[in-house]
Amino acid sequence: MSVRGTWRRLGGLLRPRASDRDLQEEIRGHLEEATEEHVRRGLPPDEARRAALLDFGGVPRVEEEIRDVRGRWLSDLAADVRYGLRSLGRDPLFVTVAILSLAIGIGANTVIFSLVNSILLRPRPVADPDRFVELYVGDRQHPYETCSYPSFLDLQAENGVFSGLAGYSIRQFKLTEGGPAEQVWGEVVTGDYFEVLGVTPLGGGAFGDDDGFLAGGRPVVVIGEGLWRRRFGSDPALIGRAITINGQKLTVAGIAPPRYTGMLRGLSTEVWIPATMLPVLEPTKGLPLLTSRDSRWLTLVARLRPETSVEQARARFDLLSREMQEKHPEEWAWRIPETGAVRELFVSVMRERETRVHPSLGTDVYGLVALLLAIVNVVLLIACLNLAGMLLARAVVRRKEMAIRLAIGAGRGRLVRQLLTESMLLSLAAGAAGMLLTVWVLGLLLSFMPALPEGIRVAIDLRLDWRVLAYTIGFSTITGILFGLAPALQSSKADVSTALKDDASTATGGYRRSRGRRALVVAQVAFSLLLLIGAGLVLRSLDRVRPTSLGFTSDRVLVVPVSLDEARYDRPKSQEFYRQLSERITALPGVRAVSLVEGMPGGFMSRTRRSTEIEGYRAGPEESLEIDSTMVGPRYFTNMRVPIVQGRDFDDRDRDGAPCVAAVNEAFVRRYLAAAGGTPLGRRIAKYDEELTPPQRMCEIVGVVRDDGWQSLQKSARPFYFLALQQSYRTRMSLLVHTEADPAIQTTAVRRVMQELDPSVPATDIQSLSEYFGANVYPFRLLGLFMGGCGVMALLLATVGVYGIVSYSAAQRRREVGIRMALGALQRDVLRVIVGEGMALVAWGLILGLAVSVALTRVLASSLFDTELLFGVSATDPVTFVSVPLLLALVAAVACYVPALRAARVDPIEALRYE
Amino acid sequence: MLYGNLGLMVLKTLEALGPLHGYRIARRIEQISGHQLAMNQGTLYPALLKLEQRGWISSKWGASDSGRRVKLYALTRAGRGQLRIQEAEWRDATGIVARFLDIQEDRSR
Repeated sequence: MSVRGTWRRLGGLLRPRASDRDLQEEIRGHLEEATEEHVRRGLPPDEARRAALLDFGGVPRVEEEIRDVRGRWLSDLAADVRYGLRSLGRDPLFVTVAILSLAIGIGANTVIFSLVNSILLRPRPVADPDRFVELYVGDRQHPYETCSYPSFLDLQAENGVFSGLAGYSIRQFKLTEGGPAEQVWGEVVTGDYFEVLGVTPLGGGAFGDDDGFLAGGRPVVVIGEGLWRRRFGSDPALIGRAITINGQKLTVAGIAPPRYTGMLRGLSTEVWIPATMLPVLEPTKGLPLLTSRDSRWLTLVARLRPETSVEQARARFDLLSREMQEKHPEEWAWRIPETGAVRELFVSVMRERETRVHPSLGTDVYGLVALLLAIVNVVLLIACLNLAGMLLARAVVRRKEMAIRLAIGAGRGRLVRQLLTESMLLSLAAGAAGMLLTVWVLGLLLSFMPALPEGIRVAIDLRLDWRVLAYTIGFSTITGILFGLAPALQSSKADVSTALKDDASTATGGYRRSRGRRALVVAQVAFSLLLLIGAGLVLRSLDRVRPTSLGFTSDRVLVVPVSLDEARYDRPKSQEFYRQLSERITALPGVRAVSLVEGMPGGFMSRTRRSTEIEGYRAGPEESLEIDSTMVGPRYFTNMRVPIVQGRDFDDRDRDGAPCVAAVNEAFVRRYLAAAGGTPLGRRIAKYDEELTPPQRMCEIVGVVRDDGWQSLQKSARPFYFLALQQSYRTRMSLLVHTEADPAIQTTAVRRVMQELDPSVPATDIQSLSEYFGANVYPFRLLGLFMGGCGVMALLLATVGVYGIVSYSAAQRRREVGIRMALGALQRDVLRVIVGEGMALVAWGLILGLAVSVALTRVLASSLFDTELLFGVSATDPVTFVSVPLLLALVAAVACYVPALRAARVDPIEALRYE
Repeated sequence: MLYGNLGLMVLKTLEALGPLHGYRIARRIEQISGHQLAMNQGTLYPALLKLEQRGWISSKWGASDSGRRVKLYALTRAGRGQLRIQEAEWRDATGIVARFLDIQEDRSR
């Protein structure tokens, strides 16, 4: 029975009228041909017609018969299902184990798939995603970057291939309306943003012209549905009212639809503000963002004209990139002064589906997805092997039944179909159970998500949709065939006469017949070992990312994000605010010290890549000196217990007006300074700071710190440097409060101090550094939990498999055991033989599994997102590679021993009489 | 007996003549049997459907010699294999029966 045939029949059933029409047409054709032939032989037309009808026999009867044939397979199917249900119903234990183990395999698959679905497969919530593209501007080395505002205006005016081109940039805003001051994530967008997306905010939300910024822009904002509900009680009267954002009154021009949560997948963006408002919102930095070609910060989105293809748009932008390089070399073809190399920028036009994760992260994400899918598929495979083994055992038991059915005339195809129907019933039931499991696990995942730092709200839509449903049903079907086919073929092969004559339990040949099952058990043990070793490695490395093993302290530290309005805090005022805040909080009882940091150590968003010049170091022609760095305040290294290898910590002297200072890590010294020899102290690096004169920008290195003092989760120590926070202008930074007791106790006091100093500064998202870390490590914990879960599953399934084969072979050899014992064999000897046979299989499985593991665990050791999956644990970690096989062997030994003991306790007389 | 082997005859016809429509198949069978097979041409269609369901023949719409829109049936690979099997079975069976008939003739002599 071919798959195509099945489809055709299904088609005929689902469209009975269409196939009836086909049939009538076919019969009409037949009659016309026949009539024609009779006419050719000399009959008059009406005679000929009559003769044709006569030859054909009754048309209605033929039609009826055809309908019968069409419908028969369905009634066969119904009979198979009924029979299958009855036959399964006789063996509830088998059914329970089968459905449970498969459900877990399918469920694990569906969970991973629904994650993949919501991140990679589901289009972003824009209208007609096929015509929606995202544009990145960058050089060959980093092609997927952003564009300056003046260049955006040029591209918008000259592209000719888009019906609309808009830009956006993700930022944090401070909201002081409808409750305490709060940080919310939002996007600064250009005027056509919502039109290009095809998303219509409730209330319109017009943003005005993109070049209107000199006139002061349009003080409007569109807010997200979530924010509207959370902070404003879904009050429709909010539209048209002014709310205060970053200290400015902005009129609410619209509410975004609930499903629209911004362009960045995963981050819930809740306010949209026209870019033309930047000079008002950020008085010092805002205007240059709109006028200067030096600051590239816009990501571009566009909608293709109906008659234009992506390829045409690409061709157009290749040309346009060239033109821009000629017209604006200062941004588009920038010459690096020392080396003379030219960094040419070009535009990449990417389809919507290529940008669901940022293209530069694409390979990492696909790698992770492939890894996770591979793992869950191994679990499913083990479950299938297990089930195939159980079905083979059932097949032996059912040999007589099959032989009788064959003897009374059932075709072999019919029997295979019957048996496949049974395994399909199992796998579809398991698919349904797996779906329930998925819903439960996804709910659990969301509810266990830790509070995220920096006011980040996750927008991940894990609803199950048709794709997930189709995937699960498809997978269940394939699974059913996979584990059902071999046993079905085997058992329908039964040779009628021998099967009826010979009682399965007498045959010592049963041992030979179970060869297939034994191979299955070996494979199961091997795959289980692979998963267990993978789980062991990940769990062991997770053990190492506990905050205690980091290169800095995270014990009793409170993280307080601070964000100031640029409009009210210029450079000196902000520095003074930080100084006063530090002073007042340090004075609180129970507080030991306070540190200032630009980004958080060890976490995401923990570093800024800065274009750097190092005195006395010449970069190679292809080398870009963009080095990771951060800014920290006075006494940071001392407070955080980061070992200073050479020189001194930053202190209160290091402020504006004093000579600029920097600190570097050891990797920085090795990479850039060691070649020149001598001490790194006193060497200088240049920082970028528009408000300083070139000589003032030269910062002297005053300290060298240990490599793991900042980025502990990195693959290998990378060059990193620190600048003094009080020698720069930052409106956003974090305060680290070092306390004597539980840091959470200080939250209220800290909040009060901030309110006293300036009530408009949000005092939200305060959490302890270990909590902050928890959020950072959460994905890795999840991975560990996931791998551990898969490992335990694999162990359980392998145990069931080993137990099954041993008890089966023990039962088969009941008579043999009886004879041996009658001849004087001891229980001990019998035990040794049976356990030995089982353990031989396990040993084969372990050897195979070890070989596969050595080959495959390397994958885990490769890095994803700059972060290793295995921190400081080798891919062939001896502890894991010894202890895990031992554990598996031990469990398997128990699984062998129990049924073997039962066999050895047999009373020889009883066993022999049974014959 | 002959009715039960209509399928075999159809397969053989399609093997010999290539893709055909229903009427031509019916005519061919009538011709080969020397019109001794009193068969309603209509009975051919359920048989064709069964063969198609088993995947032994395939059908598609095409044109007859006279340009009429007709369903053309063709032998599939599976059908070719099946034909070989059925042919062999049929020859075996007829051989056995023939031998029985021979024995009886011997005795009567």
